[in-house]
Amino acid sequence: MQAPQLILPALLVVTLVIQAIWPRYRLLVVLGGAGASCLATSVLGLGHAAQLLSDVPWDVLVILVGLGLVSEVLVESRVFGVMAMRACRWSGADPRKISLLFAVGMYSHGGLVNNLTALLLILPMLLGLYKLVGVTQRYVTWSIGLLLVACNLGGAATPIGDFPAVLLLGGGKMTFTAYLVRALPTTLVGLVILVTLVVYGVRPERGLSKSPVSAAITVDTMTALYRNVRVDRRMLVPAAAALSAMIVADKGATPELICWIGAGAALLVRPSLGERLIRRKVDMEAVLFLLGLFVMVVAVRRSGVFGSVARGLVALPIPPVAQLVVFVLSAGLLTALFSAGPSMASLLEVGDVLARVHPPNAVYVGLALGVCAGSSLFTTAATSGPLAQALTERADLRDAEGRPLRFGFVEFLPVGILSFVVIEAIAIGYCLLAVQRGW
Amino acid sequence: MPPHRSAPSTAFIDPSRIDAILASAVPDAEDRAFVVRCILGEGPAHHRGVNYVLLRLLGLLVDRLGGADMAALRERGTMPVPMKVPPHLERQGSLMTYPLALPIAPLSELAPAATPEQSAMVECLSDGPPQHALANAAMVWLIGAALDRIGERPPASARTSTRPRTKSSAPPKR
Amino acid sequence: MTQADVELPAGLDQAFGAVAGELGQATSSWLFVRAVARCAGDRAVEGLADTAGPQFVVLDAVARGWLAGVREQVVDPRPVLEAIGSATRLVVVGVEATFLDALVARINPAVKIAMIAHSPFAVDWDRVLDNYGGRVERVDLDTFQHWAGGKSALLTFAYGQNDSRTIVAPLWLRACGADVRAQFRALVGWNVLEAPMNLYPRWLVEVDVDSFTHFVPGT
Repeated sequence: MQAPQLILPALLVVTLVIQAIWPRYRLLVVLGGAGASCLATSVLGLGHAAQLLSDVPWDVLVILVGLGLVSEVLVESRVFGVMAMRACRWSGADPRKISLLFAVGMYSHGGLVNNLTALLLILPMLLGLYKLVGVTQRYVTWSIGLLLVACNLGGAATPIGDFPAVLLLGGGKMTFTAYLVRALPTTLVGLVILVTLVVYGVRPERGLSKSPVSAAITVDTMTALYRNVRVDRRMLVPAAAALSAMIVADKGATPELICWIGAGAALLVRPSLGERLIRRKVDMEAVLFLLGLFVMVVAVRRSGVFGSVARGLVALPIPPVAQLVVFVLSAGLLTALFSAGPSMASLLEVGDVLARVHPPNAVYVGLALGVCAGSSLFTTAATSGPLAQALTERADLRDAEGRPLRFGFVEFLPVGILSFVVIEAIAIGYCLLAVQRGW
Repeated sequence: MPPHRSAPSTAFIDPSRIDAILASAVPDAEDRAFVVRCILGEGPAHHRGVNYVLLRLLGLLVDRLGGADMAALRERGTMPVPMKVPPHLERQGSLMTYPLALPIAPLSELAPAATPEQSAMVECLSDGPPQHALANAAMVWLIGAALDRIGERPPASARTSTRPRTKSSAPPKR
Repeated sequence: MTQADVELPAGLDQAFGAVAGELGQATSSWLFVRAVARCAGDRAVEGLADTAGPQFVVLDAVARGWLAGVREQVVDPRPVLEAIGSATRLVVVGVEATFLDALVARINPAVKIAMIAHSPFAVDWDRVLDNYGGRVERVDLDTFQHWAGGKSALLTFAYGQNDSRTIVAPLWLRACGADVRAQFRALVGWNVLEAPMNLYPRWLVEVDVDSFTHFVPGT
């Protein structure tokens, strides 16, 4: 193995490990790692910083920023809050129905807006609902856990739901429709299985006192909190149109262009609000993190390591389908350790090589699902996990005896293991079917 | 350490008196109530007491001179008395001034209009806490009205006297 | 299961604290008392007062008032409109959804209204203001003086009157300092609690009724 094939991957791995251990400094670490990668490639004669930057998938970053802004326009339309309130009323404040409805709702939201936005919208309201209903640690663990996993599944269901799928769309690996018709049904199957297992098998609401007083207070309160809140159609329609227009990308216009124009049109509906959203709501942390990550991944690609890994995988003395299974399993495990962004960006390089010998759609969708499984294993595997933990702590939720209720790494672990197993099984099952039927 | 003194009593303050005095200067009842509250209801007790006493005395003076023609005084120009909100919270326009303005005409007796001297006088009068600034403005209204009344009187030499003239035996002094 | 058999669930104080900031203590109290009475009867209302009342005295007052026969909340914004008079700007200090809804529905559309977004409770201020469809703007404790002026009024909600004293949210004291008092033409207190409070007013503070330019008794 040559020096670049040792140094550049080592830089990437060390950077990812450090930012996983010290997430408070993740931007500093990743941008520092990117700088070090540029220096290393220059010294090793693999290319200058300008060449690395020209290889960065800027279209992906444009799509991410554009979709983020469209998400914010949807938030301003108040559609999510109103739908959550209606879900609460339909459920009659029954804890089991709340778990079910919000999991399904989060899956839908996750497919349209990024995970963090979906969580920030729904979880505070849900935590307030829990205070009204009165819950236990068991209920909090399984219901919020199911919510997180449903959000991940929703994000993997559409090409615009979350970063891994966006990377596929932006890189031109798959068209919008091709991804949607494969990933949506598959993730839906995963959701149904998980919801059935949790809601009807684990039954988190066991042990909760089903008092009609709690139910009445909850429904009355939610009605009062949203008594005059209405969906702002002026914001909803343009945002929905912008998302729908992404499908037009199949007809020749590139996704990032559609996203740019669509987001701009949605923001122009209310120019002062649009300007404010651009200035304050663009997730620069995510953009900078991904930029640094892409630079490092491009540097590693130039060293030829990804190609070597892919060739090694293809050369394994196992049936071709088993190679795909190993790939999908690796995606899940690497994601659980290093989070979705780095894993997807790195493994996509390997996937490109695999796609020459295996059906491309099976490779890419399998990868996205494997990353989804890995994101659902630990709370630290995705940013939504620590966010859920922080929001739950801030809510100061307590049980009937006044004991604080938590949602952390340990509490989520049983949910995570179950979800990982189910989603990986779904992913592998999809790959097998896709190879067999040529999907 | 000097012995602690309690605040002076202000039981003598009757806001309705000052309200009546300022009725022509501030015609709107709600605006006037706000001004009277600032002058007599806010700030240290001794400021409130002083404001009441001086405005009452000036009111008496104006009454004995024949009453106040505030409209005439207003026509000759006023300056707004601004509210002292933090500068970054100021709003342009007239909404952040008090309903009682400062009449300029009396100040023209001291310094010509639109001169730096008069501007400095306006600034001094409208500076400070609201109970000072508004009390100053109210007093200038009353003083201006009194000056106007005095100005309307004919000079002492032109006034006819009903007292019979008596011949004086003493020669006039040189 | 009859009304008499329904027991009160634990954690109602936590539930009340979750909504008191956003709906107001009086509005939330009426909501809770009505729900409890509907599902579990007057005996449960007494239980509600016993368990959650010590921490939330407004809830205690409303519950005890209910038991004493006060079954309707009096909401009449007309005296408040008179007190506000010809003011063109109104800054609301504190939240009481039922009362503010009634006021906003009757007030002159030309009057601009703002609410100081500050509370000891956790509040989703976006949701609070969304209920007014843009009619009420948000201001902060350090910027609301931008709304001061000769045609501006401040309004807060009071919880009962005992001789010359009344009880308000501490936010009123933070907002209505000596400087602010002389920058708003009307300082209006709207009593939203008919029944007297029997317990020490936690979350609240006592002030003189005379500190207001207009005190609306509310009954």
